[in-house]
Amino acid sequence: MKTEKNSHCPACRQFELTDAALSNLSAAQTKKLAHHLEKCDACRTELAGIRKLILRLEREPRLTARDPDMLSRRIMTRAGPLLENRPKRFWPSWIYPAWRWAALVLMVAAAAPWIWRTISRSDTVTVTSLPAQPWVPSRSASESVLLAANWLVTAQEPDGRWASRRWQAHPSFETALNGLATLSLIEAHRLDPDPELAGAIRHALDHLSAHKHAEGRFGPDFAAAHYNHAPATLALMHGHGLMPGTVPDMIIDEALAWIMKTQNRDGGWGYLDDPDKLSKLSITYWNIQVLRTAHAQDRAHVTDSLQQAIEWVHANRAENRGFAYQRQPQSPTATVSATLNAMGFLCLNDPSTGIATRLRPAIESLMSDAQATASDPDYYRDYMLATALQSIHTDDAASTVTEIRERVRQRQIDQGPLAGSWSPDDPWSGTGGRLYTTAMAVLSQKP
Amino acid sequence: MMCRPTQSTPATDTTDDAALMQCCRDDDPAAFRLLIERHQDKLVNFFGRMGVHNDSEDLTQETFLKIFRYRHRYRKRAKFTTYLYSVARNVYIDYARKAGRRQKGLQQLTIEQQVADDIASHKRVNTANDQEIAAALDCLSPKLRMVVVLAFFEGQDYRTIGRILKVPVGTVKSRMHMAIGRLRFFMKNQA
Repeated sequence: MKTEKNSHCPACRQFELTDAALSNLSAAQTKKLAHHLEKCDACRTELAGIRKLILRLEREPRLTARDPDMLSRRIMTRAGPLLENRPKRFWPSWIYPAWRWAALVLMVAAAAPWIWRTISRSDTVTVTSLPAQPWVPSRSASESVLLAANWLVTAQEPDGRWASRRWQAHPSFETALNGLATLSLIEAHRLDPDPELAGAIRHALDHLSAHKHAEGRFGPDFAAAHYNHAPATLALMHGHGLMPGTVPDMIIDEALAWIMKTQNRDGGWGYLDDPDKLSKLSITYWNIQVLRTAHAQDRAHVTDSLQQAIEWVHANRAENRGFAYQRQPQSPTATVSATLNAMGFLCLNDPSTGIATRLRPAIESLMSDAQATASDPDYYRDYMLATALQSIHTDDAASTVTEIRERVRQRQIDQGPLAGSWSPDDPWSGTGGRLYTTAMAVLSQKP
Repeated sequence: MMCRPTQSTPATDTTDDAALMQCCRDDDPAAFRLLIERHQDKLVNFFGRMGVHNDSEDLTQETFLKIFRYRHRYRKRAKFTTYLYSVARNVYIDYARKAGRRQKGLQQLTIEQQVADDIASHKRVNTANDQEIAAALDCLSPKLRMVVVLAFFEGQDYRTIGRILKVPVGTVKSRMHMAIGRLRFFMKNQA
């Protein structure tokens, strides 16, 4: 069973806390946990939080039928014809199970030669893994991006935004999704400078610009505000580069100032309500992309902040195991993943200066991550891996990127009103919905 | 004619569910009515908590009709409610699939209207506190949500949930763990 570490306490499995809150632990486990809780404030707080939530769920009132009598009468009325029209059984009831057994025996008999061949072959050949599925060429990357752009344009609301609830996303992250959708349209516009596309981008940029808060922040004021702010700022900066004059400089400067103001002392960024101000790689990654884009657009005042952030990522590398989610120098169990490795690599690899030699182990790690990742959808991971590997100019990396992109394109819906989009079916879709899957899939195709 | 679940006892309010199903297999409508009256609120609650606000009674009806249509296939292997929720789960999956297909054909205004209706019906049913829970539940995938709904709103244990969803108990546990984590995250951020 997959386990996750409690982010507050690496020594205690969160599974045990959920189980403890639900009274599902054995006596021995309960005793062990109680002993641990005596000296661990973080776990005590965590357990209290879980118990509070469970209590709230259990106290929820039951929903009932508006008129129970009417509902049961309605069901009975509909069931009536099923009773009257029941076909009479021709055979006695014992014969039906007998038929099933007979059918099973026949099937086994029919499959016997094939089973025998398979068993015989397994004596001589050791099969270590299933052969990879052959790649069936699908539409090209540019066709795919333009098809997606077409869907995004039709899904755009009259006020220029994309509505989170309409596309199964959490409203707290609507600003991030609007930023990602705008970035996707900008990518499409690079392939085809269509006036309708340009209009949709301008409209989206206007909407984003108009929703900046006084302190320079985009999106709601909550712990994960950086996840909204960074993609929105990135979209505005790329929009500014594509259509000069569309986004006032002042808006971008204020947005950048908010990022620098919220930078942690250690150089990275994390959740705003974290009392320890521990930086997280997944948040720092987005802000580094913003600052790097700002730097490329000659906004020199971000240089120091960018440098500090890059140093934090350097320091955050887990010993020979890629990049950790947060700094855990004492912990050999720091969380690393293909997505985090690719993020860390992208933070450190400055395209303008080339790949540093010290990143060679990270490249090897990326290649093995890309080969090991299963074909289950994870558009966030695929975007990060494709973007990271693309910057490594080797034949192996190029063919891996082609495979990842092809795999992503094969999942694109090609018919009906949702044609061009991607279904919200990956681990992050519960939050991002269809807008997130479509935007990340488009950005993963970026040449 | 009223079916007799045992030689001496007619189907009454105290007859157990499996015996009532046995009567249904013998085409006894009174037994079926008892089953409906006994369990319809459970299903309305289940579908409502799964996020089906306007159609929860229709899906309850659909579930009972399926049970009645295929009553001859019922075998007593577990509690009747396990069978009931298994059928309800399939009805929900069909509904979600059809709703997805239907959504493809809907124009923007229709979708907005539907969303507005859902929100309105939510408001009618729930207090502000419930709305916070409902909004957090909306953020879970159907797989995670179903585990939470079956455990906390329908009072089923892990083993029974595993049977209903046709997954091992370990999977139920890990889904519950993920669901609790996500609910806490969303509720914290909502606050």
